[in-house]
Amino acid sequence: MFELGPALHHAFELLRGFAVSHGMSRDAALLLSKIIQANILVLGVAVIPMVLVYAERKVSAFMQARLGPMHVGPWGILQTFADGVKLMLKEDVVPAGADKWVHFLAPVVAVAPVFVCFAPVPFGQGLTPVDLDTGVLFIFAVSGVSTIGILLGGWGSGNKFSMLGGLRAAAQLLSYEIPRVLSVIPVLMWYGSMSLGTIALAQHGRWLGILPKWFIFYPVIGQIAFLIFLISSVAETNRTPFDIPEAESELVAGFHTEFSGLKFALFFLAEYAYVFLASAMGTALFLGGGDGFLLPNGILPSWIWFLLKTFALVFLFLWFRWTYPRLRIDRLMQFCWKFLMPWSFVNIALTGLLVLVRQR
Amino acid sequence: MTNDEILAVITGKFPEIQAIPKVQGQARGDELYLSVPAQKLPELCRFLRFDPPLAFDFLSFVTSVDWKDRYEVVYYLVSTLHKHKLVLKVNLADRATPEVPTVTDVWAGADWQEREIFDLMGITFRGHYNLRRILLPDDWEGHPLRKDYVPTPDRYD
Amino acid sequence: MSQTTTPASAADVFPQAPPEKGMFISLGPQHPSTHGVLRVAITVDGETVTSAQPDIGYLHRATEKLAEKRTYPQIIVLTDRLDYLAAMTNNWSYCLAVEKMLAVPIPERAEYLRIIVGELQRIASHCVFLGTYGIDIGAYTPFLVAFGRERERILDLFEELCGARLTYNYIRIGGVMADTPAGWEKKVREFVKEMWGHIQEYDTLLTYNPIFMDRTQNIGLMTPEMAVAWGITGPNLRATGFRADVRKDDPYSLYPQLKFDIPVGKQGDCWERYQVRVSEMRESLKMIEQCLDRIQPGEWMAKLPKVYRVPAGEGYGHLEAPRGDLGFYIISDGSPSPYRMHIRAPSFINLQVLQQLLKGWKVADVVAILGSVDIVLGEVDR
Repeated sequence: MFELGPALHHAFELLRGFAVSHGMSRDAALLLSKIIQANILVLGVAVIPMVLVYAERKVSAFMQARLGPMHVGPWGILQTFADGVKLMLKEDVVPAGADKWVHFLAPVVAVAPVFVCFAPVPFGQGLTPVDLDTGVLFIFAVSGVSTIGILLGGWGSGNKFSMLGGLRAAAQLLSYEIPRVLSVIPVLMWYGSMSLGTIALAQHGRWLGILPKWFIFYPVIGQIAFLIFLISSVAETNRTPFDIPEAESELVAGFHTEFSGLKFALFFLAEYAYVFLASAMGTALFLGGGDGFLLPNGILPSWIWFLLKTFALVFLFLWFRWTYPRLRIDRLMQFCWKFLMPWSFVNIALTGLLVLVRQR
Repeated sequence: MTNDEILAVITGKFPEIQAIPKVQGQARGDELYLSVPAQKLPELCRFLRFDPPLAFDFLSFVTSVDWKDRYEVVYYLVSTLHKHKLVLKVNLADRATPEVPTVTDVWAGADWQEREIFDLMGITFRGHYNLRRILLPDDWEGHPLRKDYVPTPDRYD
Repeated sequence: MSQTTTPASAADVFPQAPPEKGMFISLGPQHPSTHGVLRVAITVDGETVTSAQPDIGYLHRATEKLAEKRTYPQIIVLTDRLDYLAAMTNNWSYCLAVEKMLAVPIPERAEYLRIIVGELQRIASHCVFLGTYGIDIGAYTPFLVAFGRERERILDLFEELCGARLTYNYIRIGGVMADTPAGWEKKVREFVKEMWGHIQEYDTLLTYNPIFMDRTQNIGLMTPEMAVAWGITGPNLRATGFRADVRKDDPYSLYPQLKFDIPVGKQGDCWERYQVRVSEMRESLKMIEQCLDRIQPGEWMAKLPKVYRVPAGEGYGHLEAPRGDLGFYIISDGSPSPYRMHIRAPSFINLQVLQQLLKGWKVADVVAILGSVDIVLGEVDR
């Protein structure tokens, strides 16, 4: 077993010690090590979408009786890298009717929050970049900013289809934010914390020595909360069956119709990073974070477990996309307000009762 | 109903309408062919469509022929209830301004077919609500399906 | 049959001129869901469509004019390019019209081969519909399954039969181009056996998917009266509950000897238009099986002189193509090429109903309705 967290801590301590011994002040060394940590995180967040795009292509290919990318690198592993290079080299076309500044700002606003959002995610034992006490709230708050980016993209393109897509996106994302937040409240109530790390750690352990004490296994409340969280996360990340904002068959490509090159790549990056973020949150909140199961303790390190579970959730996202058709916008809203919302309130009430019972 | 019975019903109401006899040695289907004067067309079509024993509710197609000295508009009617068929032919002797009343108010499906004939053959359908060119650009000159149409020469000619 | 279309007042179905108010959206001619180069000019009031005017002609190739300069056998090549997803039935329909004028008897083997390829073509064409309709609704996988797997098998079979995958020129005046290669019939039988399972798969993947049903059921309703008045034929007409099929009503070839049903819908919504097509694939499989059981070795081409003249006069041959009643009306003056040829193109006539059909539905339904009518622009524009 190899726990990455302590090793990294040790490495950074060595680094700081080295810097201080060469005449750097203690504060400056600390700042430097934080900057390096942030860079590792940003790099990781930028690489994850590439892995996800590759996974999506392969998974969809195997679901559709074909092979997917096969030519760039073994089994096409380098295909996404090649596509990334292509997107960066492509001409950046700004439509004549577009609002130049809004058009430029849109992808930036959409992608910037993603990097910040990963700060409080507990990737494993001792691997939380910044263990915020209000981690859950922080993620919801910051990721909400991306909606503005999508709205700007739709608005600034000077294209009717894009504008429709942008407006639909705003309506959809704002609506689904509510059940998403509400579905997490039972978890917060139960564990009495908003820190993702604390919540994940609290789920370690076994009932009767077999069943993991993950929140998803708490009778009724766990399952309802997880389902609502999963559904609204799919909607939040604009993926089929909720990909109304970029509904290809209706709105051409919705809000990113008029984006090309790097700007398009940024939207793409944001989408996949959010898929990963949603899966990581699901893992930390409902699936016990880095807690292992089935295998005897200590065979796999916690960060591997965390990644495994996260990718299992990511696979769910892909699976939905390649099997379901798209909902219609009005049905989508109905589903949110008339189904998900009431059930999340019911779940909160139920959890409240259970918390009371536990306190007795 | 057999062709003779259909003809009897129609000539009972419209004595001036005549069947086109089959010419020996010429190919033709078994349908009943009628020659209809253009001004009688709306009235006759209404009758054919709404008269219960006839009930020609389905206009299979409308087309037109340029016979060099005259134009001809052909209507192919089918009754989905009785399964009998009928071909109407309207002769337009006026080559300069061929005009025929529209049947879109009887069979909505004639809409685009009449527009197509207007576009490609240059026959005007009086009373059509939206008689514009349909396949060719609005500024196209001439009507290509006419026998005297001279195509614009291109690099292959 | 005991059904009728009640004499509806013509004003019900008569299209009105488009209104002036509302936002104007131009859907196409380059748009993922117009299945080619079709433009639909839509005016919307809020989310509701107040008028829709399909704009066609982007793919016009003047087939009818070209036919006047070609000899009769040469025109078969032109018919391939009409409905390019169902070239076999185009060839067949044209040959039917010419054969009627020539009054030439077709050998039995040729008739069976025609039915086999015709029904295979129907399955292939419906596979394309099923896949593209899935994409219209947002499901990608059915496309790659139906289009990329099953249709590909059929195209392979056709390629083996006549060397072409899309424009076959296989059905000729008086019979078919060539006899089957060795083992071809066995391959068709194998394919048919597998296809039964694949259609089952489509049902689980798309047909009964709750989201798909939610998107398509009770959307784009069409009454039988409306459909008949607009001249709609094929699956679109049958989905309204109106049992009309050229194979039964005006039988051609050996269809009277085959046992098959005509699947119909109840209310003519998008889902039923889809469902009727899936059921038709099953009926086609049944027909192919029957033909394979009966087909005997023999001649595949009628005895026709090398150079033959079509007698003066006229002929109309039509058949049930995958998209409806496809007819060729040919006028001959005894010369080697037709004096005038008119194509009764089902896509062209089915498409005009959109003017009325789209009205009153939501913008999001436009694509669902447009896709369910299943048009091929090559046939619309000719």
